[in-house]
Amino acid sequence: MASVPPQQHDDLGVLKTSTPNDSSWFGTFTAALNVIGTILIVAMAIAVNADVFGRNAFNHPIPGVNEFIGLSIVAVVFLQLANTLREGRHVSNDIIMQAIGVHNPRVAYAFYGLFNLIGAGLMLFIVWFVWPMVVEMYRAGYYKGTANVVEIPIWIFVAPVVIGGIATAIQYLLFAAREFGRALGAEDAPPK
Amino acid sequence: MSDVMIGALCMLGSLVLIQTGMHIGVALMFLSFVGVFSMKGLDIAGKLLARSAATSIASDAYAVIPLFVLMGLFVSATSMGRDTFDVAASLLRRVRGGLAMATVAANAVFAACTGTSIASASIFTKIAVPEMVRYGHTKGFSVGVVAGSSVLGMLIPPSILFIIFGVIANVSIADLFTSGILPGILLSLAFCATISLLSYFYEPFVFADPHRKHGTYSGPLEGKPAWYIAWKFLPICLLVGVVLGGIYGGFFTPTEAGGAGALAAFLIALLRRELTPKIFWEVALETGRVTAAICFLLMAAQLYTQMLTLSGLPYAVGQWLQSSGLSFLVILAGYLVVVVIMGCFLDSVSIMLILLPFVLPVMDTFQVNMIWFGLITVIAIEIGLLTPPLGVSVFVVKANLDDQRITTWQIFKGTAPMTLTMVVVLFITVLFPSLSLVLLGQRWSWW
Repeated sequence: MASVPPQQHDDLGVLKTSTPNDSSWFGTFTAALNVIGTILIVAMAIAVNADVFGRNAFNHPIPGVNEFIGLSIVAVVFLQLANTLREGRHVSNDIIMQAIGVHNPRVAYAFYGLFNLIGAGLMLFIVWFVWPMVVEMYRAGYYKGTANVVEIPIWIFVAPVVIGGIATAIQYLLFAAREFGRALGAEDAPPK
Repeated sequence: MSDVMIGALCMLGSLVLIQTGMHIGVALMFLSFVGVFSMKGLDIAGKLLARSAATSIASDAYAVIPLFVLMGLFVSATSMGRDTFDVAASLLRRVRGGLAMATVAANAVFAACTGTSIASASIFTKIAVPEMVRYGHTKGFSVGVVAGSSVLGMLIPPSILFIIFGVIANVSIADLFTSGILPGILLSLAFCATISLLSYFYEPFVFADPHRKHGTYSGPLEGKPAWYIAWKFLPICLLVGVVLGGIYGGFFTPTEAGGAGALAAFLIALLRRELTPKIFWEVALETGRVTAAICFLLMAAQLYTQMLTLSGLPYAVGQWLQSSGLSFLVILAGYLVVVVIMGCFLDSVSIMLILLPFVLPVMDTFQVNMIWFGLITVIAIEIGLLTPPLGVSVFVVKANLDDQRITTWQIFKGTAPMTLTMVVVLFITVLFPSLSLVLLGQRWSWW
C-alpha cells in the first residue's frame, strides 16, 4: 500500500461511484491495482507504436516488444480483475435469477451469495497453484526475449496473478457476505 | 462415471450456472476444474488451472484486444460518430427513408473503427433516434434501425468476435477480418433495401407522420459546401485507412494495427480538442475493465477446452455424427439453428466459448474452411443480439434511450425486419462461401 501516494485518492474517487465503500482501504487497493494495470495498457500501446514506427521508418524494430505485450496482458487482466468485479462489470446473465428474485428475493440472494463464494474459492485455487510457478520462475530466472539483448523476467508479470487473485477473492468474499446477509434478512436489502 | 459423461455433465452444468446468473468465466473455469479433477486428480487439475490463468493468454496475439478496445473508446469519446451520421444524412436527404439509411451507413463506417456492437448501439441511440423521431419516423422503427444496424460493428473489421474466434480456432485474425468486409457491405445494403421496401409498402410501420415521409432532412450540414462535408468525413476515413490499410498493406499485424489505430484515434481526439485528461483516464480505465472481463472469459475457455478434450466428448460426438451418416449440410443447419437459439439466452462470447470446442473438431473432419466457418458463426451469433428474450443490442439501445416510455418489446418489434434481413444474409453467406473468401484469394466451397 505504501506505493500509493495519498494524492491519488481523490482522482480515484470517481472510479468508485457505482459501489460505495464497504471498506474504503480495500476499495482504494483495488483501484490502485486498476491504475497499475491501466498504466501497463498505455505502456503496451506506446511500445507497439514505437516498434511499428522504428521498423517502418528506420528499419529498426525494437527487440522484446512482442514478448513484453504478450506477458503484460496476463498482468493487466489480473490487476483489473478485482476492480472489474467491484464495479459489477463481469459478464453474467441473470434474467432467471431476477425473475426468481421478484417473488423470492431471499432465494435469489442465497444463490448470489453461493456464486460469489464459488468465485472466491476459484480465485484462491488459482492463487494456490500459481504461487509455486512464480517462485520457480523467480528462482530459475526464466525470461522471455533474446539472451543478452532483452531479457524480460517472467515472474514479474505472473506475480500480479497472485496479488490480483487474492484481491479478487477478497472482493468475492465481501460480496458473498453481503448477499448472505440479505438472504438471512439481517438487512432489509437496501440498495447498498 | 465415464470421462465422456463427466464432460457432458460439466457442459450442461455450465449452461445451467450461466443461466442462473453466475459470472460466465467463473462458471466455466470452476466446472472445468472440477471436471479435470474428477478425471485426472487434483495435481493435474491444479496445473491446468494455473496454466490457464498464468500463461494461456501470454501471447502478443491477445494484446490485440485491449488495443482495439482502446481505439474504439477513443473514437466513442469524440463526436466522430455524430459527424459521420450528419454526412450520411445530408448525402441521403432526398431519398425516401434516407435518414434511416444514413443510420445504417454511419454505423457501417463507424464499425470500421470499433470492434463491438455495443459501442455502435449506444452512440447511435443518442445520435440517430432523436433525429429520426423528429423527422416523423415511428419510435419503434427508429430504435429498431439503430439496434439492427449496430450488429455491423461486429461484422465489419476490426471485430472482437473475430478476434475471439481466431484465438479459439487458431486461424488468422487478419484473414477473418478480411472475410467480414464483403458480407458487411452486403448486410448494409440489405438493411437499406429493407428500409426502402418498408418505407414504400409498409408506411405506418415507418412513418408516424404521413406528411413528413418525403421530408427533406436539414441537418447541421444543410447548405454547406461539398468540401466542408468532406472535411467532416476526413478524420474517420483516416482512421479506417490506418487500420485496414495498415493490415492489408502489410505494414502491421492486427495487434499493431490496434496500437496504431489507438494512437491515431488519440491524436484525432486531441486535435479536435475533445480529449481532456479526465476523459483520457476514464477511457484507459474502461479499456482495462473491458479487457479484464473478455480475457478472463478466454482463460476460462482455454481450461474448458482442455477439460472437454480430456473427456473425449468432442471426439465422441464427432464419431457419432459421422456414423449417423448425416450430411454436412444437415449438421451445419443444425449447428446454425443451435447458435441462433442459444443467442436468445446467452451473450455472443459465451456461445462461442461453449460451442466451438465441440464443433471445431467436427467441422475439421468435413474439411470446412475455418475462415468461412468463423464468418457464418459470427453472423448467426449476431442474430442472437437482436432476438428476445436476451438481445444484448436491444438492451443497450434501451439503456441509452432518453425516452424511457419506449419499451424493450417495442424495440424488439422495430428490429424484427432487420433480424429477418440478417437471416437472409446468413443464408447467402452460407450458400456462397466465395463471398467471404474471394478477397482472400481462397477457393473453397461445400458444394
